[in-house]
Amino acid sequence: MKDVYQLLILLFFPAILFFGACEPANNASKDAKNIDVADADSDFHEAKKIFYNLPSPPEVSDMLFSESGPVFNEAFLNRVENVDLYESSVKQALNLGIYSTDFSFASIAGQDQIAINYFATSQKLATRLGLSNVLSQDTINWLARNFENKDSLMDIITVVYRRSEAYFNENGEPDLALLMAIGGWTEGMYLATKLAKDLKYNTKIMDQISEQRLSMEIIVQIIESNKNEPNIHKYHEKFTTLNGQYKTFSNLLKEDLKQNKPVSQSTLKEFLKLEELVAILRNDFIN
Amino acid sequence: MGFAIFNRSVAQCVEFAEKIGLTLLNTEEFQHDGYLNSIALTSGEQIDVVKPFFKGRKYRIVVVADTKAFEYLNFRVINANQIVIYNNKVDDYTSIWEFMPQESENLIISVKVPDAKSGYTRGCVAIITGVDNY
Repeated sequence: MKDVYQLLILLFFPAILFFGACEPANNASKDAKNIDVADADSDFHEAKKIFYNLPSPPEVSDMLFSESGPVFNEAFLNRVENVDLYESSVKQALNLGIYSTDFSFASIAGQDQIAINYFATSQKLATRLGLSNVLSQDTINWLARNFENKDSLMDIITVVYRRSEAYFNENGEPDLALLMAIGGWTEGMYLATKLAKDLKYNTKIMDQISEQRLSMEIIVQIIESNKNEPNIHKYHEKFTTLNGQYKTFSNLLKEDLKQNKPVSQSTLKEFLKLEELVAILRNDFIN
Repeated sequence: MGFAIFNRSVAQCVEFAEKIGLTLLNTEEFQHDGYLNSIALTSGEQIDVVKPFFKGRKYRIVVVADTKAFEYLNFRVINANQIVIYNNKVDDYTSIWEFMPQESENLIISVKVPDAKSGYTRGCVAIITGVDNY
């Protein structure tokens, strides 16, 4: 595993982290509960800015695949050879998210060599997007110190994702940050819907997929709030259709679960429609 | 930590979020979700972060500013029905909150920068979230 990290570090592009003194924290640990704060509401007005945080590739992979066990199929991943097809920054950002999810999926499945190939491919795309400019020796040293002792490829991709997201925003390209997030999430859904068949549509994986309706709602909000951004808004119709299908599927599944039944035929039928819509979107992104 | 520093750049805020925000998150215990949500704000301004939270996981939210003038940074966590499920006023404006959602839902972390007692104050604010380590 150490060799894997050394190779990753050589390939890696960076996170410039600074460690040192930090402010003391008041740590409040409580369960979520409704509290009466009506008197505080008048202090809050319309937001100046809204950040939308979709689950990142490691987060979505963990939720969807950590319990799928040995089920892994390399054929489902976007082929690394496709990387040279992506010439526009839009396609590059979308597929940076897609390859990051493929990397995360392979890592969770313990497919280290495949994960490295996907990491290298992500790196290639990142370099084309200008992210190599943030590479520094400090970063490489930091990774060497921190990852040799941590058996977690997921940490690496989280750092990559964070630096990419921050870089796009720093450089006045928030649309690319959003596209990377959307691409990564869509790939997660594509892989999960494909794996569901191998898992015989068990309620666990179906429920995990259904939970992602929340992310779906956020994507629709992102697209609607970027009406003037054609690279994002062009996906409005497809994601709106997908959102509608998500609701139909999720509501039916919720009923099945409430009655403690296995996935019903009508739920499965709606799931297969969902799978098809996700595949159409994903194929649009990768081709 | 400075006082009333003007003209914060995006890069400065990112640096602040990585240095202070991630330390407060404690990445040994909580896996960062990949977003720094760092921005330069002026007294009286507000920022929202919209994010899905999933049942069965433990989350830590860190809201922090780089200036003492924003010491009493107020944040609230609001659900889709506009119900405030947490307000850090009740915990003396703590910068950290941990919780386990009872249900999966999209929540808004809404942050209000306090009004300046005197003059114009500007500083970096970061809103960082992590989930119990995978």
